[in-house]
Parts: sequence; structure tokens; C-alpha cells
Amino acid sequence: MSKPVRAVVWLAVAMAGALAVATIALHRGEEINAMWLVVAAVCSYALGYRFYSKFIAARVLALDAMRATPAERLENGRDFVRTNKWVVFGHHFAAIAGPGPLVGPVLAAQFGYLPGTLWILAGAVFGGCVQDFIILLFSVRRDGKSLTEMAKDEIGRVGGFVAYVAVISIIVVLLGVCALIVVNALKASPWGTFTIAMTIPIALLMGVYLRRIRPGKVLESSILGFLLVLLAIWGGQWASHTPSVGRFFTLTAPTLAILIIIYGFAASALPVWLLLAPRDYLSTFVKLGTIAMLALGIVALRPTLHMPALTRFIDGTGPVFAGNVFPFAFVTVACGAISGFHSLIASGTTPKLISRETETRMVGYGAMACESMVAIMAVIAACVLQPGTYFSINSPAGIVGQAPEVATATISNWGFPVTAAEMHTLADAVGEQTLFNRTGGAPAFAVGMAHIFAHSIGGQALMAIWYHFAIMFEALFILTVLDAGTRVGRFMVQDALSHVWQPLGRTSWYPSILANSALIVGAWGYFLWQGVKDPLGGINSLWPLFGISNQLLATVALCIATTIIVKMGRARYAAVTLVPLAWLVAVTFSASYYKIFDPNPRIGFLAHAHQVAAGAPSPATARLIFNDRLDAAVTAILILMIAMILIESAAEWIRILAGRKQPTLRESPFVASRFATEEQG
Amino acid sequence: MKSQLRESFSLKPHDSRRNDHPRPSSRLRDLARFLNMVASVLRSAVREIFDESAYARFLERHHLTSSRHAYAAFLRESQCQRERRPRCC
Repeated sequence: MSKPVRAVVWLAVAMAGALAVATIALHRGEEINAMWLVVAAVCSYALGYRFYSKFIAARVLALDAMRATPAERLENGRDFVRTNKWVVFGHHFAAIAGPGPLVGPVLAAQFGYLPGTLWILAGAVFGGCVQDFIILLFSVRRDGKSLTEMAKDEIGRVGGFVAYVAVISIIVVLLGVCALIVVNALKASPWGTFTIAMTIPIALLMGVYLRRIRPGKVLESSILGFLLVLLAIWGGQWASHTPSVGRFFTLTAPTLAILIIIYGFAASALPVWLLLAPRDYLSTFVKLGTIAMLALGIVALRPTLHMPALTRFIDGTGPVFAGNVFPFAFVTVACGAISGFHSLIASGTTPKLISRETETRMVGYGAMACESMVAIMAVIAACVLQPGTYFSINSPAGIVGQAPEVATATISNWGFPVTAAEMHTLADAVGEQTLFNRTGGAPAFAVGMAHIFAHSIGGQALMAIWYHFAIMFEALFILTVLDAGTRVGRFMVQDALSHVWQPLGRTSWYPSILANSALIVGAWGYFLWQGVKDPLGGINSLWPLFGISNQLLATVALCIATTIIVKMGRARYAAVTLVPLAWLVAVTFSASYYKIFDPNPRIGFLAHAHQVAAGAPSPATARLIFNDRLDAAVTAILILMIAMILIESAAEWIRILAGRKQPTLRESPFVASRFATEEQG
Repeated sequence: MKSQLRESFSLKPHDSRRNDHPRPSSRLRDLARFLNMVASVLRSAVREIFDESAYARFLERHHLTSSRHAYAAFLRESQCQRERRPRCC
């Protein structure tokens, strides 16, 4: 394509994107079509990739195709393997795509579709994609070192320690919140519970099939597992309609919480091949397929968004979670815009597969843009619901009332008309006893997804099947995160404890495995239990805590990135990471301040503890007060640690820029790539 | 990939075919070649995501053929790496 034609094409893309964003931002009082969001997103990511990431690659990072990557220099056929960039792209996307970008935007939809959408677009293009790209490249230049190792090498010992503790903290909070989402989706739902329960024997069967019957045929066993899961969804319908079976699977939230805690402990102690690996394969298979189906469904149906652009809850009085649009929309959206957790993946397996430095742009920046697109689809799935329906599903009984008539009257009074009969009909259509008080985002997303699927394929007759397919998809996803997260957390604790007493670090010593598994499961299990017992549904306090810890980890990653950019002598371009860093600091520090000190008991942990203490005493009073103080302490400790890493990083930048310290990069030495040389020659 | 795509679809400046109108059959062949390449990349990506490529590399490295014992050995070798691999939120 000639240069003028290219310019015209990109101008057209820019104009289409601008028109779409303007339509999203300026339309008031009328419903808009979801395709405006899709066009705005596709154009923003295309422009960000073509121009901004190219600028970063050329000017800031000076990507060098001649420089051999660790996959070439250290190739061992095991960890370090030169891999086709499209294959690495798929691998990286499959690893970073989790439940966060599906749940966060659904919760943030209580502010309307506009705040979440704008933050997803801007946050991804200028923050999340940049973070993933730069951390991936820096890890590639350091033989695939992890984030914590890079923090220790480039910032200092405090940086390394803080990054390590931040990773463990985010894992614990994340697992507690994820488990709570599953509990809220499955409580009093025999169909959903039966289906998810069946995925455990299915995963075990896959493990045995892979090891004993058809060794190594992972894709084949995943397809088999998927067919069995479809059968389990159909079986769930039978279970829910058969009272003698259904009552075994109609469980309360505390019962489900106990079962998930036991499951987490067992999954952490069982051999990897038996449960963890097959479930991981199965969930990846379902995940990639469902995301593709949802994208096709949205394009085919082109649904109308019924949620307004902005709701009255931007003032902080929202029922889903309390807090103003700033900063809470930003910590709630979480992974769809920028996720600290991605920096662990970008400094984990992926850098060991990259063939050429120049490919980090497509893999790092491109895969995050795709993940962000998934978040846009979640916004659409939530906003195709009538607002009254959305708030009926996502509002806790403690806010809107327990009885359906009371809840619908409260929500209708907010200006979002809904009736108990409508909600009953909808619950009936999706095969549930009730959809009230289903906090956590997963059920609302499932209803939205079922709506899109049912209008694309199968009509209303398949609504219940689609709903439970969506619930199964999310729960499977989350349980995989629980399995893997508990193990990773256990290893990290074992590594740390080995400095105290060496046998505790032995990963094959069963007493250590059991003790450390119990420690990690106990930690996230505590948060889960706290959420289950919370009259406000748990998500109100725990999701912001998760969002804060995830964004704080991104703060650590951006501190490392800025430090390395300054050390590279490219301080004039440091704004590329410094601006998203400053924004994240503003968001996370103010969100933390509100969560600890806000006088509104629905927002501030301490105010809530004070309110509970002042109220009528009950057996739960002491526990509720302790929980609030614990949450406040966890938030404060995280913020203090990040403040330490920020101060240490800033001091390093100043020393280098003032010429008081010679910058020392801990990159592996330059080795010319023999492949690039061959190509050049 | 880009160079492969370029090879498949663009004509170099001094290509003798440059001014010829491609026949429908050659267009179809090009299309088939392109689709074949896309399918092959997709297959490779799926095999990598599902660790089938890693197992194939293991067999090649140790000069083994696929069997229960070989797969068990592969699982033992990759266990540590797999256990420490976080799944993203």
C-alpha cells in the first residue's frame, strides 16, 4: 500500500474512532447500539498499536532485531524455546485472560456504561498495554527474569521485598474474592452447583485419560472434557427438576464456602497431573471458545444498551459497591484496563519463548489490547440488561431489602423500573429459583451473555442452557485460578520460610506442603468467609480491596519500568511510564484513603467498625469489627509498602539524573542473533 | 509470518508476473495457500497452549516415542515449572 493511501486509511480509522467515542460520550437520554463501543474499541486499539506502541518501540526501547533473545541464546527445548510470534501471542493471551476483565466492568456498570468504557480504552492504550509490552521486553533483555528479581536488581532490596509481598498479598485477596464470586453465583442454584461439581470428576477423568489411555493427547482430552461438561450442563437441568437430587445441590453460601475451601486445600496437595493440569486445559479450551463466541454473538446481534451513559450512582451511593466514580470506577474495572498481575506473566513464561525483540510489541501490547476488548464485551453484556434487572441481580439484600417486592420497589424508586413478576419470569427463563441478591458480577454477566446468545442462536428456549453455560464458564475459570493461585502462593511462602528453616522450603516434603497449603488456603478462606457473612454481600468491601492490590502491583511494575528507562539514558521519554504511574498512584492512594478513613460506613472500614460497635450488640459484633480493622490494616500495609518502593525508585531517578550515581543496567550482554544476521546477509 | 504473507501475496518490484493479470485458478491457489498457512499457525498455537508441542519437544530431546512412561517422565520434568505458573486474574 502506498504512503498516501496508508495515510488516508489511518485517517479514516481515526475519524471513525473519534465519531464512536463522541457518540458514546455525548449521547444522553437515548439508548445507543453496542456497536459504537465495538467500533470505538477496535479503532482505539488499532491506533494505539500502530502509532503509540511503534513510537515506544523505536524511541523509548529501541528494539533491536539483531539482538539474540534468551530463547535463542539459552534454547534448551524446555523453558527456552524460539517460537513463532503468533503462537507466543496466543499463548500469552490465554495466560493473561482471566475472570477479572469479565467481572470488573460488570460491577463498574453501576455508574453507567460511560466511565468504565472510557477507562478501559484509555487505560489499556496508555497504561495496561504499555506496561505489558515494556515489562516483557525488559524481562527478555534479562534472560526472562521475574518481576521481583528485576525489582531487586534495578531498584534495590526494598523494591524486591515489596514486590514479593505485594505479589503474595494480591494472590490472597484475589483468591478470596474469586471464591466469593463463585459462592454468590452458585448459592441456592442446584443446576449451577451440579454442573460445577461434575467438572471435578471430569477433570480427574481427563487426568487419567491423559496419563494412562492416550498419553499427551491434551487437545483430544480437552474436547472430550468439554463434551462431558456440556452433558453436565444438561444433567444440571435434570438435577434441578428432580427434588430428591436437587436438594443435595441446593446449598447455602456458608456451605459452599466451606466446600470451596476444602477443594482449594485438596487441589493444592494433589498431584498436578491429576486435577490442576486437566482443569487448566479444560478451562482454557472453554475460555477461548466462549470469548470468540461472545464476540461473534455481539457482532451478529448488535444489541442495544439499555443502561444509561451515567447513572445517579456516580455520587458514590451505588448499591453494588459504595464510592464515587473517582477513584472507584478505576479500581473496579481492574484488569480490563491495566493489571499488575499481567506483569507476572510478562516476566514468566512468555519472555522465554520470544524469538526476536521486535516481537515483544505485538505479543505484549497486542495481547493486552485483546484482553481489553474482552472487558468491552463484558460492559456490553452488563448494559444490554434493563437497568432495573441489573440492579436487582447485583444489589445486596442489606441495601434493597430481602423480599422481592421491597427490592423492586426500592430499585424502581431510584428511577430504574422493575417488578417482582418480571424478575420471577427472568429467573424462570434461566432455570433459577431467584436472581435477587446475586452479587459478584458473575450472574449479571451470565444473564447478559445468555441474552446475547439466546437472541443469536436458539431463541428463548435455550436461555437457561446459555445462562448455565455462562455460569459454568466463569466458575471453571475461577476455580482454575484458585487451584493455580493456591499452589503458586504456597511455593512463594515455602521459598520465604526456607530462609527461616530450610526443610520448610522443600517442595516434596509433605508436612511442609500441608502446612503451607493450609496457611495460604486459610488466608484466602478467611477473606471468603468474611465476604459470605457480610450483610452487604462482601463484594462491596472485597472487590475494591482486590482492585487496589492489583493496581498497586501495576504501580510496582511501572516503577521498575521507569527506573530502567531512566537508567537507559532515555529519561526524556520516561513520561510513557511515569504518566500511567502517576495516575495509578492518584487512584490507588485515594481509593485506599477512602476505604480506610471515609466517614460513610458503606465506604470506610473504620467508620463501619465504629457503626457496628455503636449498634445493638450481637454475637457477630466482635467479628465484624475485627474484619473491618483487618481490611483497613491490609489496605494500609499495602499502601505503605508501595510508598516505600515509590520513594526508593524516585531517589534512584534523582541520583542518576543529578549525576550523583552512574546508572548500571543489569541487562544480559548483547549477543548478535545468528538468525537476524543470516536474514540480513 | 509477515514475510511469508508478503511472499504469498505481493509481487516483488522486478517480478516478471507483475503486469500479468493473475488467472482465477492461481488466485484460488494463493487463497488456499493463505488459508492453509493460517490454519497451520492456529494449529501450532493451540498445540503450544495445550502443551502438546512441549511434549513433542520432550520426546525429540530424549529420543523417545510417545508412551505412558514417556508422558509420565514429561510430567515429572515439567511439574515444577507448571506448578509455579500463575493463572491471571
